[in-house]
Amino acid sequence: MNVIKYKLLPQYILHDDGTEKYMLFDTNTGDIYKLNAVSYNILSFCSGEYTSDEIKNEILKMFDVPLDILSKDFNDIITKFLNENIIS
Amino acid sequence: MDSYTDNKKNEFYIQWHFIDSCNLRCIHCYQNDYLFKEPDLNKLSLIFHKLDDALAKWKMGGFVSLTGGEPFLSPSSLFYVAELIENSPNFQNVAILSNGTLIDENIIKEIKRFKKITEIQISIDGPDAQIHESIRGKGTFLKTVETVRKLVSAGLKTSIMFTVHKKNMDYAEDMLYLAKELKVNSLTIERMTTMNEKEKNEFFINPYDLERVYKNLYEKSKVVFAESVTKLITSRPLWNLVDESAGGFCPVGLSSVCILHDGTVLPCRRLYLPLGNIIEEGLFKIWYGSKILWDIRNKKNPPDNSGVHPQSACSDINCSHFKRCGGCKAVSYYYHGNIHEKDPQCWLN
Repeated sequence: MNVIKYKLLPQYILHDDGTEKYMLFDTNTGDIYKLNAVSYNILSFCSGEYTSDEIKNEILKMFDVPLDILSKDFNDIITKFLNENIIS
Repeated sequence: MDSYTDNKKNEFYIQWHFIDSCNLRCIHCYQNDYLFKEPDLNKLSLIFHKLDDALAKWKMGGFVSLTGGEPFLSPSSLFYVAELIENSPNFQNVAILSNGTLIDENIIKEIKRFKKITEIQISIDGPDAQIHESIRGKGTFLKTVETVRKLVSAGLKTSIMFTVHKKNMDYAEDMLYLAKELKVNSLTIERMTTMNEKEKNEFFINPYDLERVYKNLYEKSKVVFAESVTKLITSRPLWNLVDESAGGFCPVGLSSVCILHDGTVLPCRRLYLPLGNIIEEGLFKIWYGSKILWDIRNKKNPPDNSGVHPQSACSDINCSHFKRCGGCKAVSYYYHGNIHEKDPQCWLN
């Protein structure tokens, strides 16, 4: 069981404009990132309250994707966000 | 995740009320507090640097209107800000919005030192002393008109702002003749935003009177301003109803912002919905994080009880004027309590 909990750093703001355009804003630098729906939803759960397994379970409910593929994508996405200092 | 960059060199408009104090007490003013307070230069510098950083990041050219209060109540503060702007590659143009009662030859000489100060806008609310002074106070008309003459003869681009409401709408046509006589570059007609019931009763122009005033001004301006340097500015919402080539969608929430002297950020001076403080939070956090701004950008009403987002009346694609009008959000907000409701001065059914 994976109990690591991730948290979006406070300078970041997530935005969903309701037209399937997902954005991440860095309020320190003004950088803007375009996200896909999976990345956006993963970051939405990075509130410090959910474990990795809980986030994956939530994503599985939202997208029709096999667990093994999601697990790989999840790890890639989380690694990237950690490396970019977007989550901790 | 892709980094998003927009390399278009667009313009971003900032109306910066760098001073709160004013020497006049105009009856239609948005301000409540007039006590003279010398602006805090440290705060002005902090505000400037936050704006400068944002413009640099966005690769947008800043167009700033410096106003108050009355900006010439503290010329040293005004020129301090103008100097900061002059030396920044991120700001393109500066306009100064003034009541015109405190500008003398020395001030004009100082203004001319700044290449980026490209326009001086003077408020005149009636074509003669009686009308203007019933709104702006005794002894102001001749002083203001004299200032306009001096600015024009000094070769500065000068415009007149006429804020139209029920008390002066019948004199709007005469403003064309005054503007022509003064040889100003432009005359802008702006509707007053009535912010409460008392103001609404006293100043609000009903849509059919506004239609009459706008149509008359538009047609008469073609004759009065023929072979004149003066132009009628019709870039605001509702002018499009008079002529399809006129008017313009309000940039609020998209490419404009209003900053008060203490750093408070508003979507527009007429829409008093504080979004945050630029000194404490920076512009990025406010611009990207404000629910109010996202609501303004989102051309839909908040969800009703069934969760449906009804489309805004003034953003309705079924309205033939949708692309070049959009109504005034502030007028809608204070009239209906909702920025997405139809502009109450729109005369279309």
